[in-house]
Amino acid sequence: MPVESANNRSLGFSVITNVQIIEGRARPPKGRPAIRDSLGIRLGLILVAILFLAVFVLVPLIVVFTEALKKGLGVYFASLTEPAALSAIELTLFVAAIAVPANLFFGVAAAWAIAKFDFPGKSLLITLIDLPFAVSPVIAGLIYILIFGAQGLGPFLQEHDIKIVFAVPGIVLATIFVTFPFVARELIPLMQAQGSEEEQAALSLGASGWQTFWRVTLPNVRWGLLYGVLLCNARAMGEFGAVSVVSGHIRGLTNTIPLHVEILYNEYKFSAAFAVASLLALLSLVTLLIKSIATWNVSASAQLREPSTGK
Amino acid sequence: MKIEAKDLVRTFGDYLALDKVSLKTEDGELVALLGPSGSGKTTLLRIIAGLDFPDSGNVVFDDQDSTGLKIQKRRVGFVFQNYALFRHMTVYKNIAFGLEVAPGSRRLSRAQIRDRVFELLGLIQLPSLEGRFPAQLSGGQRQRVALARALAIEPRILLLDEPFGTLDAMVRKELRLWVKELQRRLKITTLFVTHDQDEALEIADRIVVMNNGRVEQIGTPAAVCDEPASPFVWEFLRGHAIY
Repeated sequence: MPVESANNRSLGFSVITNVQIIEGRARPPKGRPAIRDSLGIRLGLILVAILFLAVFVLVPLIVVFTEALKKGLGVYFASLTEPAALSAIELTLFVAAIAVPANLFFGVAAAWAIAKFDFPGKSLLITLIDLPFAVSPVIAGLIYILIFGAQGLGPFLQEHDIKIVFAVPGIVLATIFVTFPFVARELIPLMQAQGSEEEQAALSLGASGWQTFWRVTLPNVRWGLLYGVLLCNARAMGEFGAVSVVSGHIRGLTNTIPLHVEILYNEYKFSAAFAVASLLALLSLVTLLIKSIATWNVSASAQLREPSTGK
Repeated sequence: MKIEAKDLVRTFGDYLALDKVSLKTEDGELVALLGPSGSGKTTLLRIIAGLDFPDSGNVVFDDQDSTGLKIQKRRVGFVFQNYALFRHMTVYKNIAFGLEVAPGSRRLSRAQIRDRVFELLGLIQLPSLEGRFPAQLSGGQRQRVALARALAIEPRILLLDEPFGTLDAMVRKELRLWVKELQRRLKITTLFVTHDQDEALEIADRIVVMNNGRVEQIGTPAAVCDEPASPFVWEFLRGHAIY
């Protein structure tokens, strides 16, 4: 059309307007990024996620607390303060007090070695750290029975009057085994991402290796470390499978909180069982709360780490 | 202090990073290590700093062999390409770090450290930013803080790895003249790594042109421009001139 092409030449904008009118239906949606889906899809996905969480997480959590308090606060506190419950709580705290520091030390050492040095067998070490996640806790318990029980070192240990399985040391060992990946797994990616330049800078300024670790390396990973310790602690206190195998279920001696809950439940003492279980539920809620504060801090400092643009 | 490198060789697996590199600087000189990436200039700088060790060859500071000396004992000020500021510390703490980790007998008092940090903040012209964290600084400010941190320990030599590499063009020009002036004032022997010909030609007293792990030529900016010692030097500096 000669008229239109003449128009185009004189008025550059008319072309654009024409195209828009012609392709009116294909006009891009305004005011939102291309990756954002339409309202229907978004609502649907959010709804599915909420429903799923409600059915599988929220409802059970509420059930634990309602069942625990069903027969009143009196029964609730009585179930928590009876001697067997108290000794289970005590043992659980004792085991965690050994397992968590042990794995804190191991986790920091392993993460440090893996993130900052190259050595043969490094990938094997990383795989081994993940092993407890891959192995069923029951197997973990059985391993210790095999090693320290009647088939293994049992007779020798008995001769020297050392008790490991069906006693507290066995429970501690099984718990350490099951919880050792938590701290290391949390720290390794963090330390790898940070590299070692800040450490090199510290050394060049005269700091010793020890000073560099305490003043530079550790403060840089403190939130990740806290998160790892919390997860490790939650698992150490809540572990059932591995501990169940090595414990021997001796009431007042080798029962931890999860084992005590099971015994109460099997004896049809539901209110008592749920009362003790509510302790573990409470622990997990506190863990999550501290965790979300820690995560918030990590992402805040990660944002700060981004190099600012411009001068 | 005078720095001397004698026949330094460094390999990474099969890769020859430094192939018998030798150089000698005078006291108070500003020397550029210039070359394309992979020419070995950063490796050379790291070996002089004590962050890396050569397979063979020697590093000599003021006629004293220092090849095996630990980095903590070398008293070198090293500024990293990405500055490597301690991100969890304020500017004040960053600059004070080297003074605070000094062993008891040599450590300054709190008040002395404070005076020294504020003196350095004045020197880098950032007098009121001591409470900021590195992430709250611009690139140019970070670079100057890194420099102040390195200078705090009163280093015998200053080593800068691509000091202007990550800055935008305007800031880069401004900062390199500022660094040059500062270096003149402090009279501290300084080596800096760069791949930017103009940068080397503009501020260096002498230039070490490197390629493939070897030194191609050492000379003043005028010398390497006017009398290139090899086809590589001629090609590498072609089109660049002294200001």
